[in-house]
Amino acid sequence: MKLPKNNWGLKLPWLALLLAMAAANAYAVPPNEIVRSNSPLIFNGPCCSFSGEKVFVTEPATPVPVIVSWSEDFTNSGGIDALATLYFVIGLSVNGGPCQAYGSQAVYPVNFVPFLSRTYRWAVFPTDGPPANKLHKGSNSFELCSGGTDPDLGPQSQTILQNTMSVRLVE
Amino acid sequence: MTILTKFGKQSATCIAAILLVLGMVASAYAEGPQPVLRRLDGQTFTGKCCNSWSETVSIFQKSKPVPVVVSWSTDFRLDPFISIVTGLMVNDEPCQFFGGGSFVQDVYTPGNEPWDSRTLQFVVPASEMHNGTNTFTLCGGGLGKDTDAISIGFNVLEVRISN
Repeated sequence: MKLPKNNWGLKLPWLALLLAMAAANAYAVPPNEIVRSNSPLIFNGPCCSFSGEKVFVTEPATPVPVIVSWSEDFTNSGGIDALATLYFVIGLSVNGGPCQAYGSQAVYPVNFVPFLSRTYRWAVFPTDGPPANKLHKGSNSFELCSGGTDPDLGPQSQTILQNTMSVRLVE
Repeated sequence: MTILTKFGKQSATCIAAILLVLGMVASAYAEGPQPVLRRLDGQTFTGKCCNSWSETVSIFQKSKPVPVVVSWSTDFRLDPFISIVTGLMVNDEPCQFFGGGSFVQDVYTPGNEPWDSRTLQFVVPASEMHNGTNTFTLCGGGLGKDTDAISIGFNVLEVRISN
């Protein structure tokens, strides 16, 4: 069966569908900019271990700062000491570089409750890091890293439960 | 000679105009909005609410301002039973509260509290802003005595358009 020309009654629904798909695509966050995990992450020992949990963002020709957000349920154990005030730290490895703090880093020691929840927001600037790991045009990676602060405090262990990680460019 | 002098005057005027424009451009960049501030040092704020905490970010609003979200993610430490509140000074106006901003220390090891972290988020309505560059400065203080204090560690302050 041949469709008559200029049959807008048939064309309009397809046009509307195409427009709706384009709009949905415009709002969607690229999948590698977000991670949600329900699998426990375990960090044993002093800082820093790398989690393998990564997000990626694509930088323009002239890199701009990025914001990385991390939200977690967690528990930890070990290292209770009357003189210590910092037990565990958390940070980022940018483009495979060393584990560093790009903002708040303190992880509260869980003592009287089964687990706690915290959110961190870190800023990475184009001037940060050694040349090999600086933000650059194209895809850039951000990996979570963490660990205990002092081996002398004894065995330290953290378990991260449900968590989300995301990255975005500062517009 | 006269022609040369005239030419020299015109050139000087032209060069001065170019330098002025370049200076204005450079100045515009130097004073452009700074939506993200990261501090990797420590500070302690003492006293009752409210004082400026001297951390400022800024954003440019077009002719019709829209709401912004200001988020602050920080390490902190304070003594047990002390309550601290945090707000924003918008365009150097008095400290106001635009969302959850309280810090209260649970009792852990009195006198030797561990470092903790918090992320606060404030929503500033369009009515608080004007077109052009708007500034947002952290402010706050204790709810109890003049000696109430909070120590702030590494932190990130950011403002972005709400969308």
